[in-house]
Amino acid sequence: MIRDALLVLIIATTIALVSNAFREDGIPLVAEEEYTILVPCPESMGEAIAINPDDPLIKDPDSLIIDVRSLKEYDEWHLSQALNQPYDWLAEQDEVDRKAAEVAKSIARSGKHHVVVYGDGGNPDSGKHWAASLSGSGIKNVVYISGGADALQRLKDSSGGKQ
Amino acid sequence: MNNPYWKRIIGSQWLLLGARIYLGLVFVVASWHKIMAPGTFALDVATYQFLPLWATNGFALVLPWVELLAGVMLILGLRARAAALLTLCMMLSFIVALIWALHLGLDMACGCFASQAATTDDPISWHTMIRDLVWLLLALYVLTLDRARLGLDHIFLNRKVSP
Repeated sequence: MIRDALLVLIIATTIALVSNAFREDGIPLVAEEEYTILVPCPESMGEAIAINPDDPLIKDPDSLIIDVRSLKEYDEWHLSQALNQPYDWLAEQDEVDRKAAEVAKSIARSGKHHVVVYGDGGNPDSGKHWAASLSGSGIKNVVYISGGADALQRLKDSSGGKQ
Repeated sequence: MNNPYWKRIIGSQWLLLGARIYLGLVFVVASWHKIMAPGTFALDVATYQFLPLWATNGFALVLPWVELLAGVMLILGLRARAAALLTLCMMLSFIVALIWALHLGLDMACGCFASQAATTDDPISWHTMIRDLVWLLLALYVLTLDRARLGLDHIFLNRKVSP
């Protein structure tokens, strides 16, 4: 039986090689360059929990605040203690993962217990995505501010300029 | 007549003939698009990210012919147990590749009966795994119980068959 199976393998290999040699759309026996794979790989997304703009975590000294808007928007206004880490929608997932890993290291060095992320509050929300990326990188206690910078500014305006 | 009823049912050569024909048709149908478009199938194989690049094209060329020959042999009852052994090995390799793809979380079509490029109707999932396991068991069933009473082996080679 095994001999028969091996014989079939030999016959199949012979037919495959001969037919490939003679057909117009034959392929090289060994690929010359890597295939471009079109299937989307999974994004390293974790759980991102939303908090309100008035959540006490935002003022908690144990919270690391990350503003993921562009540098221009950050310069116009940001929470005083916020770091700027712009989220690039067009970046390849590998690049996002790499940046998330870098931020994860800085979070670990900071000794903070919570990470609060805010973005533009749009739909989709860059803050939510960045928070999910960080969470997917293994960072725990990552939350994002629902409504993002707009909601924070509205809250600031309604409370007479106090953050 | 001492055999229990279920044993006689399971060992029925007519039931085995049905299993052989079904399994054979599955493999013949599965082989067709791969033989017709080897380049596309090579891309399908690469998408699984399982084989090294140097083995991808060779595998993509030979596998469909093994599938076709094994399928035809099962249908005709020509060295059916050798064909069942080949299908068993192929099913094992498919299942390992499937587990790998599911482990990577690849969002892709199976590529079993049509190429990735042609369809997204057959996405890999644990259901695909169950389907493959059923075919694996079917191949094992033919391999262990087929006595070649109904097939070309019996007709042309006048084989002695064990009871």
